[in-house]
Amino acid sequence: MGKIILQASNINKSFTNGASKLMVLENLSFALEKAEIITIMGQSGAGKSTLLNILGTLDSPDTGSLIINGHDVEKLNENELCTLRNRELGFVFQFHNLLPEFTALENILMPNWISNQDSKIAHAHDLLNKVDLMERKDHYPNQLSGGERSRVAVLRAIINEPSMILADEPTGNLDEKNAGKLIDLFIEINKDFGQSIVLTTHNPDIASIGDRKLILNDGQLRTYK
Amino acid sequence: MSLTIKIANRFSNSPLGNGSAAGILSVIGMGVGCFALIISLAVMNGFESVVNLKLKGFDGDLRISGNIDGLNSDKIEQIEGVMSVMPYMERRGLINDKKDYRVVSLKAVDMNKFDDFYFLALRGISSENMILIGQDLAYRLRKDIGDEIEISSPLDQSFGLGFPPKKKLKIGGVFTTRILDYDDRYVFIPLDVGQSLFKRKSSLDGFDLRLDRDQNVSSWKKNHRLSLADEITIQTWEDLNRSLVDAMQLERLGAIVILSLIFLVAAFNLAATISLISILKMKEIGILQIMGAPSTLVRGVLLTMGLRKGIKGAISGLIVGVAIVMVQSVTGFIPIPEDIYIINSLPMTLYTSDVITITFIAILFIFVSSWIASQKIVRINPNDALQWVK
Repeated sequence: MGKIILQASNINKSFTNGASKLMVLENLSFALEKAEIITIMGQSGAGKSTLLNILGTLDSPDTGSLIINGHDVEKLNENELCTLRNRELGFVFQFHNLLPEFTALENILMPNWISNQDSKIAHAHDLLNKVDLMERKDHYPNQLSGGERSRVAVLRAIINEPSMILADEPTGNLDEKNAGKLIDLFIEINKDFGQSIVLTTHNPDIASIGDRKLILNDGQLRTYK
Repeated sequence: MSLTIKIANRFSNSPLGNGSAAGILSVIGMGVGCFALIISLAVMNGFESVVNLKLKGFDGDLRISGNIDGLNSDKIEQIEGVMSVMPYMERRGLINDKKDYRVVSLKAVDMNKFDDFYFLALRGISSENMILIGQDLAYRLRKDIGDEIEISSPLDQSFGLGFPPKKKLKIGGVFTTRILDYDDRYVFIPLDVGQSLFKRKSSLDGFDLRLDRDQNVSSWKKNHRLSLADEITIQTWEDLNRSLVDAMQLERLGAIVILSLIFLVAAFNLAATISLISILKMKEIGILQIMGAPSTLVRGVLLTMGLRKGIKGAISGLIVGVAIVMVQSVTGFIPIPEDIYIINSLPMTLYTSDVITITFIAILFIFVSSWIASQKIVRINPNDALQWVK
């Protein structure tokens, strides 16, 4: 058993609308090991994005605890949470969410700039070469194709060498070819850099890359066969 | 370049919703505020300088009074920094024509030194055995140069005789100061006439002093206070006209406060612009927060954008205002009626301290409004920021 990167215990999350209360996550517990890929499937509205938001410290659970790389998220203040997001987590969204005012290279380097650590421009160039985007490094997001934007978003997520990557339906907006390229990139990153990945998807083929394949149903995570 | 400035630059120059239309209004608002304050203060300073010059022209730089036994003009002129000395006696008295009496301040001075000491607009000449009256008094008495007039000092009336000492003198000149009621109240008479008229005064009341140009009046007073006897009072022209000087300073402060309201309105506009930019850039701010940007960075970006817009306006207003003041000082292209104000063009004087004060007020308003506007966005949850655009 590898090192535990993330430990979620008894996570509950509900949304209230007037008198009605919708329970999205119910006593959900799971652990993510180093270099492990977990894929999570589930219907729309099952709570996949909510779960990823909680794991990414973008949202807080009603009850339950979350420990990321030894840090108890509940005990961290606002600045410590920012540092945790910057150093330990990488996010990839369905919609690339790149900053339109910055070039591809600048978008990739942004987490590095925010962390105020040594410049990782050489590493960014290596990554761009790896995904055949070196020639597009000075292009702005609106000058890139959907597939290229997604790859830039993935490079941005790994530039600070975080412990884990949280990918929320990253292929949802891509055609089959580009989706395949992106999934290959995730596998390569996992292999080369040993980063853990939690990936949500609707697609069973994509879910098959996971070391563990889970399905979110009725607020509970179960193994998907 | 810091990351805060880099992001603020990109957001500001982005064609993708940078709130440029509202931004222009904010810039103009700040510009107008700065311009109005610069011009108003320059005009107030200008008029204040004119009044100060007139006060100094009438009173001299300093007055020495009190127990002045042992002092004389020659002795005072020996003191470092003193340019000229005017001995004087002053008394409330009457000036009377055949039918008309008016209470005036009779100021007995050395007429031989009059032209050198006093900087007054004088029509006629100052000479022994003649008096000088103000323009308003001459008008009221319907007298002019060469006419004879009688002055008396009721305070020096001898109990036994029942009549105050009187003297008939010719009007040698008519002066104009346009300061308060000076032109109606003051009458200059020769010193020897004063000495004979003011029978109850055994000596001079004091000396008016004019200092060398490079002398600072307040410093001179402070430095020489100890070298003169304790009973001697030294008053600067500001001390002598304290209420007027205070009134002018209060007026100036009032102008700054009132005109700062323009800044306040401009600051509201700027706050609205920053709020608009915050909404337009909500998604980008959410992305930054998700990447771990702390609230200080997000606030810094918004503050930088607000400060840039505000300062751009403030500097434009300052430059235009200062340029107009400089051109007016050199060319006097804005005229004013000379018969009312004595001078023919709008006086404008600007001090470095004023520019610093205005800049400080502008930056304060810009900073506070940007800070308030950035508060809400800084507290927003990053996930909510992304949901906003979804």
